Amino acid sequence: MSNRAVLTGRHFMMGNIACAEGALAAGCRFAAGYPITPATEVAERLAERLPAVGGTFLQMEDEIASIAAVIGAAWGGMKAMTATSGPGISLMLENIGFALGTETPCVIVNVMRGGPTTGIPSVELQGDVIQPRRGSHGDYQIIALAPSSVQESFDYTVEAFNLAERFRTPVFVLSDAFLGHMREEVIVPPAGQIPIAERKRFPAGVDVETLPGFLDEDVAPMPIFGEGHKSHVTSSCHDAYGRRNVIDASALDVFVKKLNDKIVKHRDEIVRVASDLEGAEVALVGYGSVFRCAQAAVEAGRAEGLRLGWFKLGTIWPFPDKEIAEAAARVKRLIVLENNLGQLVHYVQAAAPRCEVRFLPPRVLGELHEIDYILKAVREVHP
Amino acid sequence: MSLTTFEHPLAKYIRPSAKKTANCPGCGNGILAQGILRAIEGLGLALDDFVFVSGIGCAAWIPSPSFFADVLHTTHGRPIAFATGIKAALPHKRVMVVSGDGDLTAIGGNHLIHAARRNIAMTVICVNNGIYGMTGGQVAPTTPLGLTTVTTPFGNAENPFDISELVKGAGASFVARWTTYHPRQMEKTIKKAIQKKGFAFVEVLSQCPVEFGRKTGIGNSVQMLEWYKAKSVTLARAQGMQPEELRDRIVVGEFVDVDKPELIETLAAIRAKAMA
Amino acid sequence: MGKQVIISINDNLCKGADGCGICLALCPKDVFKVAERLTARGIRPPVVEKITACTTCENCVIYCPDMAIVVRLDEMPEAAAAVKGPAE
Repeated sequence: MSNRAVLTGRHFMMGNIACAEGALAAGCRFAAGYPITPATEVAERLAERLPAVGGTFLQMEDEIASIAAVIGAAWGGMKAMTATSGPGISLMLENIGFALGTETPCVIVNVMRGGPTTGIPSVELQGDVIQPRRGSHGDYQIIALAPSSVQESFDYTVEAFNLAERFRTPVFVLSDAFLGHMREEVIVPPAGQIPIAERKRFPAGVDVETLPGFLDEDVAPMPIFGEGHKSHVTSSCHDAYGRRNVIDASALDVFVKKLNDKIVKHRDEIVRVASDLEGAEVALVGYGSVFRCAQAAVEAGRAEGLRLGWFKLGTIWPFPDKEIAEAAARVKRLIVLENNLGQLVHYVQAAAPRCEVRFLPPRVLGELHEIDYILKAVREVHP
Repeated sequence: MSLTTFEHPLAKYIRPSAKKTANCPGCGNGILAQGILRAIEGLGLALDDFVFVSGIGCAAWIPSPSFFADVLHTTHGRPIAFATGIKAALPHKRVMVVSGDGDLTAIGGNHLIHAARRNIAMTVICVNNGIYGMTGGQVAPTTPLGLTTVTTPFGNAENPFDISELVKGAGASFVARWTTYHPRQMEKTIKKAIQKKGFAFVEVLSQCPVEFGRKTGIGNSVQMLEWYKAKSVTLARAQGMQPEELRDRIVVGEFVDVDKPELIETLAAIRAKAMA
Repeated sequence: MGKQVIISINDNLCKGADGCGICLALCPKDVFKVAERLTARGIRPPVVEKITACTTCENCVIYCPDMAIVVRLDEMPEAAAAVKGPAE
């Protein structure tokens, strides 16, 4: 990897730019995308930077073609990504399912905007957090990370590529319109200090009729194209050798379960949370840009003597249910802050059934929760 | 009568676990499959020099799973878009898309015209059977006006595409059309398409006796091949005919063969300059 | 002297003259006829009736959608590549 890909040093940059830089630092050398507010800067930055690091950017005719090209490039051996917003994800979901079923590593950035439908492109909502988990048809697992700062926009994008490579799966980075367009300090470490994962390679000189390249819950080596593996890659139900079987329910049973187990078995390796529950009776649960509000409210509340703590979801999926349960056991109440009408709160409730869980949207959807507004809600339930 | 069965000369190109196809008896797709493999062999190329990409439909089962090479079997309508990413990642590999008329011109129409416009180096073989065969005989963008199909029970109210004209209009640098009645000419043309440095498109009319042959009354596979023979007219002859005479004819031949800047090469030049 | 033509028909790959029959129709020399009996798979493949009429035009080979026909000229039956069949 050339030094040009890693902008080591201290920067003041926009979340979208940090995301693109994280991708380059992680080894992304192919990106395809379609313009959409508020994600367009990611594509523009990649278009500018990729050629100089030996990569390719293609603006495709639509989002469906973008994710298709990303998957194609991944099978050609490249680390590949696309960035879009909610409407683009909606278009991409069929092919995201394709990536899941064929175990294709790739990164999909959703800079969430105000929906549903066209909504307001330049206003933030956290409206698309269930979408990665249930938006594509069928039963599947997904990995989704939610950065809360511009630094995390860089770091989590690197992490997303690493998880994609490690687990041969598409990984979402759920940013949003505030985070994407906000400017903060980013520190990019020297290239040697950035952990980079590479996909397991299929043995040289072997074809997929001989060794399995799919459906291993400990992740099969990927029989990428161009190496003589004669890979047959299909999103039809297939066996471990990529052979299509659209006749036997037993084959479908294995297909669905192996793909599922691949992520579920390793969830401890994937889940990222953080918390500060020091002396807390009430904990604010947040993710993405809203976590910043939660964190600021905790600081202000503690200054007033409130026994307040915070819990941050770094990974949205797999959902940190065990971690939420542990946190819930330490406090009396959880208040889940989301900039939507309540999407993850139900998962928090399910993970902490004996804890009182409340939901707090912002005063006005699309705006961030103000500190006073949060503390007023805290005082209502503070013992 | 022979007592032993000899191995077919193309058998080495067929995936060991996929020796038999799921095609209906008499389906034209197998004729095209042979034509493709012969063309590749005739050029002195190996199957491993290629990556095959196909969508959804009977035609997409030509390379998947039969061809013993890297094969990507994609979502419906999208093989060209996936192939674009593969070509960008593996520019030295020859990328060939084989898919049907519904896949490439209905749901996949947008990707077809943009790839042609971009002139990205790939061979696209569009297998045109005039109907949606795999799903049971629904109308396609290539179904003749007035035809009764299962989704046009009162007769198709739409005009069909002339796919080759569409792709020509989109700017492809190589466009040709044959039918499965013309396997030798088809093979020669496919060789040229493979060697073309740019977007090379070959439309192949292929008989679907079970759906199209029955619905139109043209008949079984032999009758459909005879129909292709009777309806076909070469480009050279067609150029001397009136539009009315050509209305129900199938013009075959190589229509476009021009040179234009090719996408992957242009991107490589941009990259080289940026890296300097 | 005279060359020997051998036409090999793989009954396991053939889908039968009733459903297909392309080889029979496209042979310019009427080399084939339809088998009288069904195979175990329930199809009636073509059988070679007039081998001496064959000109090795290879229409049958090229037009067979199932790659079930092979035409060889001047090959001996014990050729190394011979595959016994249909045993699959």
